[in-house]
Amino acid sequence: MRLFITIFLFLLIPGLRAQMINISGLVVSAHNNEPIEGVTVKTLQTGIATATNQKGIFNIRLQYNDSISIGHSSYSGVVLPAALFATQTTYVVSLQQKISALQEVTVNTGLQLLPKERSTGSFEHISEQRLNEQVGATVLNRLEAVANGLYFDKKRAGTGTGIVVRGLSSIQGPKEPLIILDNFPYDGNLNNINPNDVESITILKDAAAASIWGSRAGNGVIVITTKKGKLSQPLSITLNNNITFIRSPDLYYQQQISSSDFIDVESFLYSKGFYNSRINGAAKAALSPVVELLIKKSNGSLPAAEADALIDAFRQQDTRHDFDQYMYQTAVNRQHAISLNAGTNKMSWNFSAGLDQNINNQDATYNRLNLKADSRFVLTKKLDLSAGVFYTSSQSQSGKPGYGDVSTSTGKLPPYILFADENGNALPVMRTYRQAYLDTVGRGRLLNWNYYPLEDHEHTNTEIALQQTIANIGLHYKILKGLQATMSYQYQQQQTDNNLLQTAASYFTRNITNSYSVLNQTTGVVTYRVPRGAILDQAAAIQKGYNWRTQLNYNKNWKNNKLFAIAGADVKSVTTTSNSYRIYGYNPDLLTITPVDYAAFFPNYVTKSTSQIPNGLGLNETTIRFLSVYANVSHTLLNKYTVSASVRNDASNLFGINTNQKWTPLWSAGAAWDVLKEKGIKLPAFSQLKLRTTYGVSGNADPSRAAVTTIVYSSTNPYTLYPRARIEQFKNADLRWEKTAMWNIGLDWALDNGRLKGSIEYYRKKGTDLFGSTAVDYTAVPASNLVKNTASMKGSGWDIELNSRNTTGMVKWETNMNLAFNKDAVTNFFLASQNGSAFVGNGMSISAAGGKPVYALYSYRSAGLDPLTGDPRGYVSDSISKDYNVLNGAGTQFSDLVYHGRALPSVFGSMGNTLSWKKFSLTARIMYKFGYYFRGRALSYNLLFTAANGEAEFANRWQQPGDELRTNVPSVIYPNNTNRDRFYVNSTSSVFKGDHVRFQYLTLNYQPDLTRLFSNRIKGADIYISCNNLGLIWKANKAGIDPDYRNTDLLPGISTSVGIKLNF
Amino acid sequence: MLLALTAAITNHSCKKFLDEKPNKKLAVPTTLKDARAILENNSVMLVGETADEISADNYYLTDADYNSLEETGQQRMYTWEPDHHYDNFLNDWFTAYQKVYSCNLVLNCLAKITPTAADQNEWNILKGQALMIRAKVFFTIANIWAPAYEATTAAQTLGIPLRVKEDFTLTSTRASLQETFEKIVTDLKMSLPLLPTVGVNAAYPTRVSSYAYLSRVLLSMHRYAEAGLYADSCLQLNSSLIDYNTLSATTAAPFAPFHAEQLYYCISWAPQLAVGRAIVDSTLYPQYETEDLRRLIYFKVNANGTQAYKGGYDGLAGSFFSGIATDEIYLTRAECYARAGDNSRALADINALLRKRYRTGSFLPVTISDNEALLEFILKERRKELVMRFVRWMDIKRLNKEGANISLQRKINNQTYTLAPNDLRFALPIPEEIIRLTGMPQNPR
Repeated sequence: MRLFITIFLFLLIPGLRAQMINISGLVVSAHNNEPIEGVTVKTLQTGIATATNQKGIFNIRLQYNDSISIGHSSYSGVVLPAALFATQTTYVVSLQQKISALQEVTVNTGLQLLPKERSTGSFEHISEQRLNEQVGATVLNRLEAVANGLYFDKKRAGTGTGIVVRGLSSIQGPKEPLIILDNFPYDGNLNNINPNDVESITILKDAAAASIWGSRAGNGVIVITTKKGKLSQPLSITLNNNITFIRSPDLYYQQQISSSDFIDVESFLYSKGFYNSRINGAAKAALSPVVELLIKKSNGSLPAAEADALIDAFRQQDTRHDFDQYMYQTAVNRQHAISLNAGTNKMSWNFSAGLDQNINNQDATYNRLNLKADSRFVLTKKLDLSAGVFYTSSQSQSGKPGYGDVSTSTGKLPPYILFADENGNALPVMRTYRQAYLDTVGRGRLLNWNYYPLEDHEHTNTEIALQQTIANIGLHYKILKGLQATMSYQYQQQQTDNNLLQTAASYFTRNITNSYSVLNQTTGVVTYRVPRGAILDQAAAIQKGYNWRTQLNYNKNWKNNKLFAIAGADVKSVTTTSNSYRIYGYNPDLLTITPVDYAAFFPNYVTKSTSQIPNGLGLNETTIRFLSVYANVSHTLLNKYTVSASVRNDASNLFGINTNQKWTPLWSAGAAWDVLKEKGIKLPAFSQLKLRTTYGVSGNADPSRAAVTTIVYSSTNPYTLYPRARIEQFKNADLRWEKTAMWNIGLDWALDNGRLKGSIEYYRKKGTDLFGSTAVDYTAVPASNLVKNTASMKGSGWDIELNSRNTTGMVKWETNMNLAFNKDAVTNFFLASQNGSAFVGNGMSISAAGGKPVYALYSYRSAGLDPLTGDPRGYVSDSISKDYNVLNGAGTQFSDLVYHGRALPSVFGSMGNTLSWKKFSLTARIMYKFGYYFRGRALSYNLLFTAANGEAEFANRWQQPGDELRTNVPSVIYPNNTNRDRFYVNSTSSVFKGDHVRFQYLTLNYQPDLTRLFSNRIKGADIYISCNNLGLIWKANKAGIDPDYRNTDLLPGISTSVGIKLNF
Repeated sequence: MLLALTAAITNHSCKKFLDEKPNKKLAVPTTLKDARAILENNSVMLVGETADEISADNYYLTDADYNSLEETGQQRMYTWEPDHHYDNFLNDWFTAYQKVYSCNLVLNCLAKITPTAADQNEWNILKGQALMIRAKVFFTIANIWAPAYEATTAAQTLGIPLRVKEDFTLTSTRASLQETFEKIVTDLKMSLPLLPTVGVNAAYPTRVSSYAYLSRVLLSMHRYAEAGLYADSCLQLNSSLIDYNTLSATTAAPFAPFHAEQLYYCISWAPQLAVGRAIVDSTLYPQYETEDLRRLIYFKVNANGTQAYKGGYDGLAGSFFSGIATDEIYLTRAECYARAGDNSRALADINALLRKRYRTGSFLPVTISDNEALLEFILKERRKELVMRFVRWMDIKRLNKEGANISLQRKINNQTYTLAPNDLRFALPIPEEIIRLTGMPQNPR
């Protein structure tokens, strides 16, 4: 645009070419309209240079047809024709901050833009460029590879993001960081955020975070800032298109028992009569095809040789083959995004749209449309108005079942089950009832009762439609010089509709229809209590919330002082209502339904046990309310000493907490010192050296810890039809808030004009009155464990970031390294029981003891296998024992356990290297985690026998004397002893070191100069290829386990993305 | 200005703003409706304990079925091991005291409510029901984890923890057996005037069910006169008996849910008792005469010729009724009449019951004149009628105290296990975890 104006001006006034003129201009930051001092202004033809003064003004003399270049190290330079300046007395030039400069200059805490040089807290800024080295539909999962001091705990991700900032500060309370989207806490689905809208992410790690954002911020704050239009900026358009291919996961990574071993186990159990109770039981429980053959073999209905041949055929089969062939495919994700920005000096705007179309490895689809519009109006000199709207609409459809999704009424699917015959025809697979029963049931008058996993997904479809709208409006009023009032309001609405349609052909529908049917034995007529036709389950949830904030900003500079203060109040309310219901006898074509008698008890066709037809009805409404006041002040003296303080008081409607306890005060204080500005200190090597520190106290009241007994209503007693309620929480009057104090000290430094730069931070945490789970006497309260204020912990760590430009010139090589050290220890923990059994486990729940990490791994001390029997052995008072009741009980005290170490990494981080040559750049990033242990899978005969859940290590079991020298896997015994399993599973042999280095991604960018190609319309182009999940480079364990995908997880396949980004 | 605004918010509207319930379904139990809802939680309140029937002699397991039990504790309980009957906390002790806690919560809630005249009736019913259920559970706990009651020694014998408060910070201690039974009897008696005589169905405790439990508890205390009187009070309000000739003997679930005989409803199930595992005691089954319909209605024939239990007196199939019903009360009253020497009334009761159990036209009324023989007959009929009804363990314990000399035997994996009369192991081991956490004394072995 600017170019056109220039050309236009040149054409218009050709006669004035040689004339010398004096021009004057004002250079301001596009970001805040503040004047910029020290901007270099240079004439292009004559090479005369000057700089802007304190007020951002420059004067220069030049020829009328000359142009000037305006440049600054922190801002993107511009070249403007002199003629432009001739039209006005003082032409205003507004400069965009460079992204790298933004990082230097301000941090966005979500409540304010804080000048970095005056900040005292621990804030980490992640640029758009760094985020975009990875490709995908979501943005938060890109953080682990690039942010410092945080990692994803995939094992705990079930309930949220799984992001852990600086270790865990709460033992039992909420562990998720608070997500802020453009100044307001975000309660919607994190998948709704379009990564292409994100300009940067700031992570707030220390006590200042909590004192700014309140009691929900105890686990850190992640501030997502989206792109905004800027004043005085020509129209710019960005297009981004990419496609990602993700290979199927490696199913053979699973350490499951081999088909042949499993068949041996089944034959062994059959010979012992293990299946008798299932065979004779009223439930007609599913039996595997091998057991059915063994029955036929022993009752003589099949010749022994024939049965054995059929059984042996199963030994060659592996269910993973069919999963791989029929259920999994390469996933294809497409992403299209467009963004437009422009601004005059009165108004700026931004509009973006994004479309994601994903088809995953199991053929499930996810389509998302994002629209976003933002604008800012300068209404008067004193009044600004900003408004924005985010809109997200997504649809997802379920796909095929994955490995582990197909199970039976008697446990896992046996490892040899196939879904299709050699011609690809669907095979019936064991599910609820045994095949021998289904073959004759109802003399063929009932609906087909077989389960065909190969086809069933075609008849079962879950569709989730989500729509979200966030609208915000803000008024910014300059009351006096330096004093500004802001009032902002945000409304958020998210609607989720979940439809599960199971057609008449689906197993679910056929099964429930048959179960409630009655066959008249004489006439052969079947009466259906559940009408024939499809079953539709619908569930809808609407989340509506508002957030209302009034804030005063005060900014005053005098002499050698700079004061920066904010104070505000915040009101927030989020209400979620949901409902669900089920429709029987549904005809999707005619939209007809058939009524059902929900009150009557009908006998089950198989067991004759009576029950009501499930109605699927549900209604829910929850409301979360917060009320907060906060203030924050920082004062800088002589541009080198800064002190800061902030305080916040939060109140909420958390249930059962007395009103006087509803308010939590949180505070923090900090100081910073710009060392290089100190007169007496001469450190010529440094171009930046700043020391800063904060200390603060935060509290945490977990909404699930009530101080009164509460009940939750849940439908009605089916016998009396009265409403019923279950007890949700038990009165725990002694509960107090958790308190965490944190001290942070950091050093920001740069050497050799920023060639080598980074930060080093050290922090200490101290938690008191922490919620801890402790075993309780269930005579007194119906719970085995309850949360009490039982623990104290201390933690400390280092976050180190290092950036270096290793080579400059033709080939540029830059390195970015994040390294975090974290350790914690429980200082006090009042467990009612010191029994070892309370501490052993997989480290997923606290197994804390004084002086040991909060999450630690303990094992029973193993004395190897008994050379005569292959029984696992332990120690009771230092002598070898096989008394498993005693070993799992009072016989093993905490002090008798083997302590391995932390269950969470103590050293972790990432390292990225970028090589640039001409228009090409190549970035490779590795991630590493060290200093922790995990418990792998271990064979439990109980699970193997009762739930068909076996481990590959069965093959290594003790079978004869001497085997104890080569293996730890216990021998088979029958009858099994569950405490023997428990002892072995929790003994030392299944613990591995978790240390590993992962090749996370590799990205190649090519930024060709296309300006000349399309009449100068294309300002920039970026063609990129990115590969993700490249696997482990090194791991400490020799068992072939990826510590991030242990136990039942599947190892994700490599993903490859190709894309192009264009700027107009 | 901001400070003024803040002050305004914090003082006035804020209180209301913050008093909004976080979840509409959530409540702090303060109303009669809340108390009712707690008692109506059928998945807690109507599911009964099983250790008593598991330990009794109505059934046996084959080696294969014993060996295939999933938890080692389940095997140990079957063979009356002295300790370690449970692999985890989800056990009878937990479910029993869970009901006790719910009742205490209801009673605590009621104590804080001053009912209006209109509410007084529901307040009374709730209190009576909570008292009845808690007493019934205390009795079950005592039956499983305390020795049989004996008036002379009960004051010196360990009973059970009598939790009557909601506050779980109070340490659990064992009351004496005397205190335990006194509490049970007092609470049941206290519930009588509060309860209505009829309810929706057997899932709703009434005065009739309280009378029934009083008769059972007093019977176990050998207080036969009182037991007989309460049995009589019960039957005066409800004396229904089902004529088994009207039931289909071939189906797996011959009884209708909430049939006429049920007085208080409770369902129990345990893997040891499961249909397909438990086999009818070989000496018991032949005691049913050919024309006795219970042969077909209670049992089915296994493939190998042994007999299995159908369960289903609860109206379901495959699970067991652990509540209380009129047939038991007839037998209790008959026993008490016989013990009081009133042969004719005892005979009338036993004949009234048996007439409904035999094939129409085949029943010959009992005419035993010898009092001792009649008592023996009644006890034999009691065992036959109440198989897998969770009263046998109590009967063995109380009768052995009177010298019945019932000794139990299990044969598993070529080993014979015996439980001699009045063995200390008739009081099962309290879960070891509880002993450790509370320091209460374990039952002596």
